[in-house]
Amino acid sequence: MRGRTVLLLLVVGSGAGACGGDEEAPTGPTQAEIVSQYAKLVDRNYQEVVRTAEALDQAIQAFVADRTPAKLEAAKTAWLAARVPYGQTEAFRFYDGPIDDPVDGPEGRINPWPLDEAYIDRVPGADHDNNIIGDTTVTLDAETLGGLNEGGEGDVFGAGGNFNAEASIALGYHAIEFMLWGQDQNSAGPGTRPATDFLEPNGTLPNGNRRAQFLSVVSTILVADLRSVATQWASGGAYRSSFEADATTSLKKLMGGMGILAKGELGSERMDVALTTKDQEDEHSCFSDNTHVDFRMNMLGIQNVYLGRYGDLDGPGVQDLLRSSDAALEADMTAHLADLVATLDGFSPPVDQAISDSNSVGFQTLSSVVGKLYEAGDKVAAAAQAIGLGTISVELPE
Amino acid sequence: MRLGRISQALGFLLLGCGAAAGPGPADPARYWAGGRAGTVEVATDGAFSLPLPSLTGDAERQFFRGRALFRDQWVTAPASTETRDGLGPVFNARACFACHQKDGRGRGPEDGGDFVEGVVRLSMTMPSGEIRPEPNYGGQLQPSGIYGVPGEGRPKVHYRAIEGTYGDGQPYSLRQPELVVEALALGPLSETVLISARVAPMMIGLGLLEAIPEDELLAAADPEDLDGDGISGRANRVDDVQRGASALGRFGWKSNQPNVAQQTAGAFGGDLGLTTRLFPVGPCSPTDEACLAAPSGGDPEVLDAILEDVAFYSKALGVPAPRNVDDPEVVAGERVFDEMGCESCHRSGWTLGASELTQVEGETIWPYTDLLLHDLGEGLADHRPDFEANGQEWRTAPLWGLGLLGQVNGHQTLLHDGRARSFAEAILWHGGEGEAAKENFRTADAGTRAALIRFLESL
Ligand code: HEC
Ligand code: HEC
Repeated sequence: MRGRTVLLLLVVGSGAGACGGDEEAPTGPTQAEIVSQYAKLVDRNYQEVVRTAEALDQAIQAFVADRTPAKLEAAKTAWLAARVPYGQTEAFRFYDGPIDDPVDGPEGRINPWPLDEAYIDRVPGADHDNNIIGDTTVTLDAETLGGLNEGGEGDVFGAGGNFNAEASIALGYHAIEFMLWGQDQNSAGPGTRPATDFLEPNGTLPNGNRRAQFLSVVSTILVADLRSVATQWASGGAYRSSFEADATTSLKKLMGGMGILAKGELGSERMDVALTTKDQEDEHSCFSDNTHVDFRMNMLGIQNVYLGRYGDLDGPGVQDLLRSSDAALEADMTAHLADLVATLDGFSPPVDQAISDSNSVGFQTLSSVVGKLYEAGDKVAAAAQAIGLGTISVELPE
Repeated sequence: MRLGRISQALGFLLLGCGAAAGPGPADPARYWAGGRAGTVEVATDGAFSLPLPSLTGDAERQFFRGRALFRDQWVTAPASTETRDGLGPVFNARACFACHQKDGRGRGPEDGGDFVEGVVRLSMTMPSGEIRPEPNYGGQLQPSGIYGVPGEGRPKVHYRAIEGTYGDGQPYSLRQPELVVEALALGPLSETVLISARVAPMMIGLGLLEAIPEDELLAAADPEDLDGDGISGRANRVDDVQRGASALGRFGWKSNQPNVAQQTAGAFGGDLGLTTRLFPVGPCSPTDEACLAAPSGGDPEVLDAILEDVAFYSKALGVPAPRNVDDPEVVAGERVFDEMGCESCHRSGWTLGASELTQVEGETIWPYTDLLLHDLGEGLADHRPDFEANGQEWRTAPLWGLGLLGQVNGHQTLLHDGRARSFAEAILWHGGEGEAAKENFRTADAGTRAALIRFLESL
């Protein structure tokens, strides 16, 4: 089944003229072809997300079973690897799809931010047991931790009437990141939590076993949540089928998602706010100093959708549709996105140092990237107009 | 008409085909509820969340930064994200957005439910007439706390039904709320405490309301009812903390805040427990040791840059365009609105004066409010003075955008404490200066009443 899909897609991919060449060709791919290729790349991307999260989970469970520095390092390596595909999937957000469906989308359990560290564990300056790990009345299982997590908008506000001021952000990639690295106390590098924080007795912090247990459970929850999203996008999956059934509506959604990620989310929330606060740790992966990868992967995700590509999977994308309606805009947009990808690739980490010094080259680079991301969002809206989709909003929040 | 139907079909998408080409409907100026520079042509559940369409460049960037900070949750100190910590130690919510959901308004609870999508204000009136906070709990109840710090108490609402009949004999039922605070953490409330429960209002068009010229607002006031129409309309005078002076009140259910920036700083302090340059003192009661012992998130906890971005955001949300403005029933309802005397308080049009949002200057807007205080009678009274507003007075609530409340927030609870469940109930609660208008509505025939409601739904 799977094999057949890919084969089919390769045929479509080569026929669609993504490789250009024949300028005269009046007919580009159909909207349905773009949407179908999109579904395939989303599927492929989420498969990769699940695979890397499973690898992370294995590394974490191995560490929990045998809490050595080497196994901690292995878990960190697996976490960094898992962020690469995940960051790209964020281009599939912002239209109430499986990831951030207002009723049951798990985004607020998968990638919520900012993490409430002192709510989860003791930290310097709050060296007590008034936190999930320290409070031995809290059972560390999936159900209890799910109830203690209030992961931002999708969770708190979507369906309305489920206001829960007592819960805070306690799950997801960043909770795991916090467990593995610890707070980043050090301006020159990432957090340096010792493996001995997880030992009991003779640990460097109290509650080593509960800390290990927390890490283990949060990792299990993450894998389950990611699988639930991937399933909906798999070939024959419930969401995918309905998504492919209405190509025009879906095309608007997927372009809206690209634009909103570029402008409001990556451009503003993740970059411009940090450039304004100049807070070293006002960055998504602050414990591991991996925020530059988050930036790159978000940007790559936008470009993936535009090109109809993920990794070595390639086919007709928004680009091809745009080329047949407005070749000049297509050329402009292609160059603009490529420039953004290249600039972020060339950006030298760590982000925390760049944002805290407005005279640094890094700061200037990020600042110009923000402006270009805003333009990218507006270009996506213009592209939708050119394709004949009418006005789409790249301004709406998630 | 067009706008409503198509945008529903498009789901989350903005409907803009009409936008560039000019006004959809034939007339009416009122279609541009927020003026040309302030109206967004969207009728989906994101209708309250869009920037003024005229924002560009740095202003647009500031808006989006403010949006992120309005939505993100704040965290316990000390956190790695130093600029985002300092929540509480006691607080109402972790994010502005928790109460102002989708930039809309909080829901009035069901019978027996917790009053959480708003705030419970507390005060005492001294024998001298001076207004002070409750000695133990302060000016506001904070029902939640960071881990290990108990919240101050749980506000619960119970309703009592009040039956009535329209002039044509059709019965209706209103619900009169009673608020009780359970699980008080710091002992009983003072016996003479005054309590006012208020849901979070909508965030749309606040920068436009701020740009209504003060002298025009004052000219509309008629404190002694000299024109003898039974409607006075008083301006509130409140503290302007930044200027250290008294100023005209415009925001809050009793016009108890002079401007959006101060309201924003007040919300950080009171609702989230975060100190700002304007309000540098935290939310702990002097007797709450757990609260006092908790770490601070800095001094102040909210950077000026963040305060400014959030205040700017709060000013720069656009107003959704009305729908169905040339539907005959809506047009008839608009006339009824005027004839019944609603317009005497819910004044439709204003022309804007100077504003930091220069693009809105000189625009005409249609908020349906005079921003003044009116005595709406005993039924709605909270008996709690707020600056110069007495215990029976409320600010005329703006009506723009209310027709989209169901779509955006999934409820139709109205009035300061969310007790009304429909437009009709909200009108039927009007007493005092609003009694005559209410009676006009109550005694009108069903068709006239329906037309008026259709008009309100179009806003
Ligand atoms: C706990 C619920 C709650 C939270 C959280 C909250 N608000 Fe409010 N907000 C209210 C209530 C209630 C009012 C009306 C206050 C009054 O009448 O005294 C209000 C009023 C306002 C107003 C004036 C609106 C008008 O029409 O007069 C603004 C602006 C505002 N809030 C901004 C904010 C900002 C910014 C934040 C976050 C820093 C915030 N609010 C957090 C409940 C909340
Ligand atoms: C005397 C002034 C006055 C008149 C006349 C008046 N109103 Fe009001 N109206 C108010 C005030 C003040 C409030 C806020 C009351 C509160 O929240 O307790 C209000 C609230 C409302 C609300 C609820 C708004 C919200 O945001 O919850 C609606 C709807 C409304 N009025 C409609 C009408 C209609 C329709 C008429 C004419 C039949 C009318 N009003 C006449 C002053 C007036």
